[in-house]
Amino acid sequence: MECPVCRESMIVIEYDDIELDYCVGCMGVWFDAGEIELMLGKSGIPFPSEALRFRVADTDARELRRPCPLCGKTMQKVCPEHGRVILDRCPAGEGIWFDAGEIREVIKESAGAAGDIVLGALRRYLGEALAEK
Amino acid sequence: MWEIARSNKRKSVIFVFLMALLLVLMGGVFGEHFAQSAETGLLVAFVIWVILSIIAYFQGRNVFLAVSGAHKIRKEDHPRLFNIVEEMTIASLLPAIPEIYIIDDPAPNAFAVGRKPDSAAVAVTSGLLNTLNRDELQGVIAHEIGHIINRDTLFMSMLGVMLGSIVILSEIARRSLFFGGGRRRTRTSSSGGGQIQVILMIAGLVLMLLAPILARLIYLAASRKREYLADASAAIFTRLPEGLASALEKISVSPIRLRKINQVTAPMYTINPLQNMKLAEDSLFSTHPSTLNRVRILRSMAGGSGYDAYDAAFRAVTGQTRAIIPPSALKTAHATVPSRSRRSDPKSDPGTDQTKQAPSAMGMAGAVLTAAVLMDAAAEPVTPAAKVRETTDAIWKSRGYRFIPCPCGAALKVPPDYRRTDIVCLRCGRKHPAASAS
Amino acid sequence: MTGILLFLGIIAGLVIWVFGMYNGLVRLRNAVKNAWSQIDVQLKRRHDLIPNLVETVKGYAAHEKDTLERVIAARNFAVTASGPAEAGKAEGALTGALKSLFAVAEAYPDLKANQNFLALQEELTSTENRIAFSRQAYNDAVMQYNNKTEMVPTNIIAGMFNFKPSEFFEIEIPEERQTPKVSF
Repeated sequence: MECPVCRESMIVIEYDDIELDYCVGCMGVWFDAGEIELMLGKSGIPFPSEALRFRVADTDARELRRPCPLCGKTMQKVCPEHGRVILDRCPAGEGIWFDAGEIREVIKESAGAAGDIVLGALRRYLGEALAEK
Repeated sequence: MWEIARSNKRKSVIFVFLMALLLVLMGGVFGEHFAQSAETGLLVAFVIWVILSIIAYFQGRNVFLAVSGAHKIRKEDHPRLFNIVEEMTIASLLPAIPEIYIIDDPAPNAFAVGRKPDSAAVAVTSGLLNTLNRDELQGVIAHEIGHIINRDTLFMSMLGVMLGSIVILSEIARRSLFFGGGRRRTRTSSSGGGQIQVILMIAGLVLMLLAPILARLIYLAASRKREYLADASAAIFTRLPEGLASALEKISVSPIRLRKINQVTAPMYTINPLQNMKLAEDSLFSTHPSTLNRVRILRSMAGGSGYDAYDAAFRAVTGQTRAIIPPSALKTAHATVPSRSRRSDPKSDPGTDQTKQAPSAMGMAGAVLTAAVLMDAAAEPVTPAAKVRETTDAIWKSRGYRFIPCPCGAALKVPPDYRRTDIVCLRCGRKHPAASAS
Repeated sequence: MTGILLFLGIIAGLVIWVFGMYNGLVRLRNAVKNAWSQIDVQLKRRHDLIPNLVETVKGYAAHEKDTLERVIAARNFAVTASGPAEAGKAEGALTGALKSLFAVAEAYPDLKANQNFLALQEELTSTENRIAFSRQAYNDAVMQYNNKTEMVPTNIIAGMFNFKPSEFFEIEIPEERQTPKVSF
């Protein structure tokens, strides 16, 4: 699979039976549909559905439009329902792309107090990638 | 082991002849009707058939593997699957180990291709590897090798080509009927041959509609019987009819459908991937016999694994009086074959009653001894998750990915076209040289 | 003149017939040899796997010394065995020893989860299956050959040219042979 940002081949990382794709060039992470839920489920946290509901972002998004690494369709710019971080989501529902650091921002700003618990749970899988830079 | 192949050959001639007759008839009538000469039609039919046959004969195997999205694997990618195929190669006396392919598809299924037993290939889906245990997988592989040994792989692809030619011809005819068919009628409308023309035209129309259906029926009738015979072969190779029976049961209840599939490729699979209600009775239009019947027959074999046990069970289950196994095969050494005991079956006592029967005491007919299970331990992943992991890794490896275990507990899987010299672990930030991947 | 020709013709026919029978016997004997070499490959593979297995088990269950030593002894005995009958006995003893080794392994969860151990277990299981499946082919070949050496008229040729009947390959597992004993 190719990184939608750098066009490099992405590495597959597997931990505790969950596989993610990431790009060594930009440290962006691709989540296949349902993988975040799977991770949280494995950590024993019932998935807070309100935390990761998305709305289509304002069209003047500064970021370039990117192709979905799975199906090649141009991805939509989306924001968490109550947040401002702009993410890329496949229009066919194949998955979501997070630029480096975006996972942390999204959880922090949209899950409120529950964010820390979710962060803690995801750290098991993503470790350093969630650390504050 | 080749008894069935020999008897199949005779029957194949009949099927091929029927198909060829249909092809000639179509070519002739269409040629007469649309181009005013039967010869032209025959020529068109012949050329289409020859071209498709040449492609199928020399490239059919690779084309089929390619459209199914199959990737070849090596032994280290999935040792257990490899071992099972090698075991069945020994049991079936196949002259060479078939190449092994994995298809990344969650629907459990398998097929075999190859025109010769010494250059065949077996493909299984990742779903099959995820759902079946070792004995069941062995049953499915034995069934596929049965197809190779019985020469079904060659025959069905050649028959499939004829079906394809007929479908293409009828398609050409249908189009020319709309675009060019009218010209002719105006020219001959008032002549004395008008009535004959009308009759010919109706005949042509009927043939155009019926030929593909008829061809499909011939094709399906040929493929259905071969499924039963491959099941019988599988029982002989494994000496364990229950392995395949339980595999078929598991496959048939799986709700997942194959992604890349069509009418012509469907009969190649262990279980018909297009069938809607899988447990339905045999019908004229099914490529495969009803799975329920296949399972029932295998389970009614009553301790035997030979052709006679399968034949008796077939008659008992289907209520048919005609034998399914060719009489010539019932006279061979593989007619009567005892089953081996199942690994985990506490009632079984491997090595006593079966191995005690000295072969010399059994006379010439019962020449084959049972394969006693020597060891109870079958090594395979216990949890479903671990099994899925094993399969997924086999798929990565078949695509040329190399693995780096990171001390933090994660595994990094590096694609073959990765260009950087090192890899940073997403979890712990450790740097690994890309060359350390294996 | 015709008489001599006829006589020579009969002699020539007889010689060709004898040659035919002789060649038939040779073909069958070679089939037996070939089938045995298939088994031999698998037996060798089995013997090669065992030292690795023992090393792996040692790392987790070092104090199961008796079981491990029994496996090694059985393996070393099996390596020296020659001929199908002797090999059958030796392999049976080895299977018995391996069975108790795998039974012991049940008590060590870490060992059972070890990738190397699992891989060796799979290889051994597959090797056993291969031995069992190639044994069928071997015994079939022996049966055909032995029948020919015993039946008229090939038995005469077999006797003249010293075609001895071959041994069948049967694996006898010691423990299981003892179980049906009943004493009063």
